[in-house]
Amino acid sequence: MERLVLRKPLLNALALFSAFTLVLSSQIQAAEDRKVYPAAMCEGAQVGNPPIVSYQSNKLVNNSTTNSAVVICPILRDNIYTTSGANEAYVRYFKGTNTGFIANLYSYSSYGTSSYTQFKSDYGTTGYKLFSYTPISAYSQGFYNFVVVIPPGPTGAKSSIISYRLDEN
Amino acid sequence: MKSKAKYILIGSLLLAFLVIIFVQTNYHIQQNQNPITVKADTASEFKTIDLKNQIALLERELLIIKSKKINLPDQKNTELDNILVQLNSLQDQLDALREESDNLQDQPDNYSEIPIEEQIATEQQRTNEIVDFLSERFESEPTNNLNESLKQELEEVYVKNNMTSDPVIQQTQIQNFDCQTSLCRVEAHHDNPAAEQNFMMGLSQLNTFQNGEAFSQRIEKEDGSVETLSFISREGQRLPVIGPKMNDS
Repeated sequence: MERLVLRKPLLNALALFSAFTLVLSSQIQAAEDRKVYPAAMCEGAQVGNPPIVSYQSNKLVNNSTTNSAVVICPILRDNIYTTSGANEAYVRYFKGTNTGFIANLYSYSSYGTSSYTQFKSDYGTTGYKLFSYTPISAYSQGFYNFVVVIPPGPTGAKSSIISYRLDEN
Repeated sequence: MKSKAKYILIGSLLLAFLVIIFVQTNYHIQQNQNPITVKADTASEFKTIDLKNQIALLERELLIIKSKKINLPDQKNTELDNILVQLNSLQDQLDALREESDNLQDQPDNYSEIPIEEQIATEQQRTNEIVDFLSERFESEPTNNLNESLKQELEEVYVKNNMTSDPVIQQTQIQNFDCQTSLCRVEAHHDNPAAEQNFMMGLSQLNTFQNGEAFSQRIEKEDGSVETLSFISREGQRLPVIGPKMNDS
């Protein structure tokens, strides 16, 4: 390819413009890998029959006064071939009682024959809370999900999941 | 005359910017709004399209530069030399992108074309690598003298007191349990996958493993039971990370 020989200061602007365009382009695409999911995407794993959980537009609530509910919250993976895993993740929840609230992050192999897990549990005070996860490894074409235990609580002190997030590398 | 040329150049830059924004927007809209015409397994295709877009952008910019260069007088200036270096760097990037794009087009793009047995064998090979790596780390750590109390905590707190009263969920039997300073190794038999899930949730309730990390190898038996081998980091510790070796194809 022919090399260019240029002599004009105004082309500084063009070079900067080119760099700016490339950076802008890469930023747009990186931002697309960040996703926040509503709790309504979670599915019941151990919720009894009839189910003890109820789905609301802004949260998923355990209505039981005696039993914990276990739900699985799926994550859509875009960058399917990478093994560099997820960068960070959160689960936002409301804790109605002092009973333990658990949300474990799973990173499965493509056929589910092995998994990485990060344990998070909260036996602390009530209120709006957030579990924060550190980077987790991944298999090429594997998949992620959260498994969450929502504790029971008396009327007026129901625990719930609100939303969750995972950023892929 | 010089001033006119400057205006023409600025006008051309603005036009190029608008064209680039249009191409970018059109690409993203097409990607987001046309799922029917997009193939199911198109990771490398998207990357190829992306690379082609970047190539087109760079080519457009180079053409603009070449067309303007004809009318410019020669000036010896260090800044201009720097620009020349940047432009040649862009040319190198363009060549590299072309090469990457060609390579991607040559690659088999569909993972489903690989026989399932081969996929599973690859996955198991990777799992065995991770297990060997963690076993080596586990063996190299000093022994911990709290094994018995931890095992008792496991059995009493969790195994005999499942979180749910669902009769479908049966027991988990711990077959082997051992802890070192930062890692624990647990072999267990679960009567069914629900018991396995319950077991893992139970592990995360133990003080020993609070905010810990785990890696589990699982073997599903024909009778529905599951055998697991898990390495779990103790409270305040992270699981050692093995480097990426699995083939990305």
